[in-house]
Amino acid sequence: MDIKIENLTVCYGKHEVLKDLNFLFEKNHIYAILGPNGCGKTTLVDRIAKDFSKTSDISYIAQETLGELELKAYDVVSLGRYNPKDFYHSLTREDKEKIEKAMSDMDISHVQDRNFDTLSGGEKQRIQIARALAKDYEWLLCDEPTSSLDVKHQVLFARTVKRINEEGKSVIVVLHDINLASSIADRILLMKDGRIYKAGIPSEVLTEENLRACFNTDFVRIQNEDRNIINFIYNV
Amino acid sequence: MKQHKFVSKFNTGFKVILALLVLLMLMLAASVMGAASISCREVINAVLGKEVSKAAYTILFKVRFPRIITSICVGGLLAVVGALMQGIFKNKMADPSVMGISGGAGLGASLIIVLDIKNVYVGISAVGIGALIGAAVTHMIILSVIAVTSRKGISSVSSTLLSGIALSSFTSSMITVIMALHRDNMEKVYMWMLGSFSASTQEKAIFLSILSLILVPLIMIIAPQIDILKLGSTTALTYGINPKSLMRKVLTISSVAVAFTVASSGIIGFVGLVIPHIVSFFGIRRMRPKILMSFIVGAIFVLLSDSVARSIMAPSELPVGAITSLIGAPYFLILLIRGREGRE
Repeated sequence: MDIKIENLTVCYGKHEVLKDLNFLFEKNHIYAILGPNGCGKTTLVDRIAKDFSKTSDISYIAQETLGELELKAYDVVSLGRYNPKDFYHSLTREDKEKIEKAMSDMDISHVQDRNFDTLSGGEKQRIQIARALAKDYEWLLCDEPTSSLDVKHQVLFARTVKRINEEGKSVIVVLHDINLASSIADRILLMKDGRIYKAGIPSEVLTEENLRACFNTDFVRIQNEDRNIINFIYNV
Repeated sequence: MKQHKFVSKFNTGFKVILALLVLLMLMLAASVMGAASISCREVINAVLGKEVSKAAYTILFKVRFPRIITSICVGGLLAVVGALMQGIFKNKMADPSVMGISGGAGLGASLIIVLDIKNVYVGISAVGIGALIGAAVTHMIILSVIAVTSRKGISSVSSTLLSGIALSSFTSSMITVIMALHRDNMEKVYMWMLGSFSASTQEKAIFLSILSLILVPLIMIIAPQIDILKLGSTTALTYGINPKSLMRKVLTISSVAVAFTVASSGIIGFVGLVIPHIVSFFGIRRMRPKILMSFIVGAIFVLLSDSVARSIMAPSELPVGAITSLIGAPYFLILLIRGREGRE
């Protein structure tokens, strides 16, 4: 099902974080949300997860790092299979297969018997992604899922997202890495000051001009037409 | 926390059975212990309904069994509430007192003690009723604080913790004022606050057993939701769990449990804080088995403490609330040191 945002305004106290937002997230796409700190990206995906979890199957990866869970890494991923209607919460063979698949997708099977709390930041993040992938879902919502990942696992995440999209899932992902966004997503939302500044396909939205207007930083766009890749470098 | 190597091999079911066996043996030992000498055989015969001497029968069924059952239920329920509090507040320092309920119950009981009301209603003394009313009032105050603060966007976790701490502090000050104004009753109030099972009756034991048989399965049903809640409140919503209503459910069930345990045997500290950690040390971390195991280990711990409290200086008794910390704290420190935290 599509996710339709209508006249969404969110305030924290007197501060308006989202200002009268309207947008239609169509299914079977990968949306990347980009924008400077404080522009409302997290608030937007958080609200979508909250408001649409009753009507759509949503799997959500929050930005907040988890405190101590006191659980084995495997048990954290197995929470992905939690079903409120199943009283006994015993894992079926299908559940176990999905958990193992999600862990191997995120290259994290080797830590399954370790205490989650003792894992590194990147390992915890991969466990979190695996937990979200193990859930039954229609929309995957991720808020900066790659912030602690090394390059190898960022690429792994990007490939996994593309694969699940080919399998019919829809994705909304908040990212800071513009290059990663342009390689994962087929739709980009550029946000600024609680509003959607530009939205559309990467080649149209990701221009030097738009990015400069959003981030107040100079970018140089390099396009590889053969491989259909847009990359940016920026001056420090 | 790292678990002990010798227990890591066993699965949860085996650990539960092992703990139950320890509890059974301790129950037998506690039934034998006491001024009147009753043998193990007599205890077993009495339980199996075979013939025993009238004196033994009376002592067992009117005195020792009620006391054993009461301490098991109180210890078990306090440990379960401790595990719940630590889970829902994501805070290892949380225990049944963080809700302020035991403080409220203590205040209600202290008032009745100094007013010298001694009536008994359905097996519960006036002091117990005072404790229940005190607990209910505190619970209402906390729920209203959550309702008001959540409208302002403050998380229910922090508002509950903070209002609980404020109420605990307020009630303990009030109790101090009451004791200062009624110096003749000071000792009674103080001894009540330290907890004791000496006033256990059959009715109390039966009531607490029924309460435990209702509350513990109820808590085990909602326990997996607390594991999910640890992933964050928005994530919980995507699993169809409403964090606010879960918090209200957990607080209400916990308040009922704490109110009745305090009403029946005073404030027994340390159990709710430490037992869930001991259960984690034994490698049981998911909420549902943790609740079950906390009940059994809490029961073992409090029964053991009560047995020590009534035998070490017999015929006089020590307050069990003091013994729980005396036995528990050193054992806990040993576990902490041996269980080395950090990367495996």
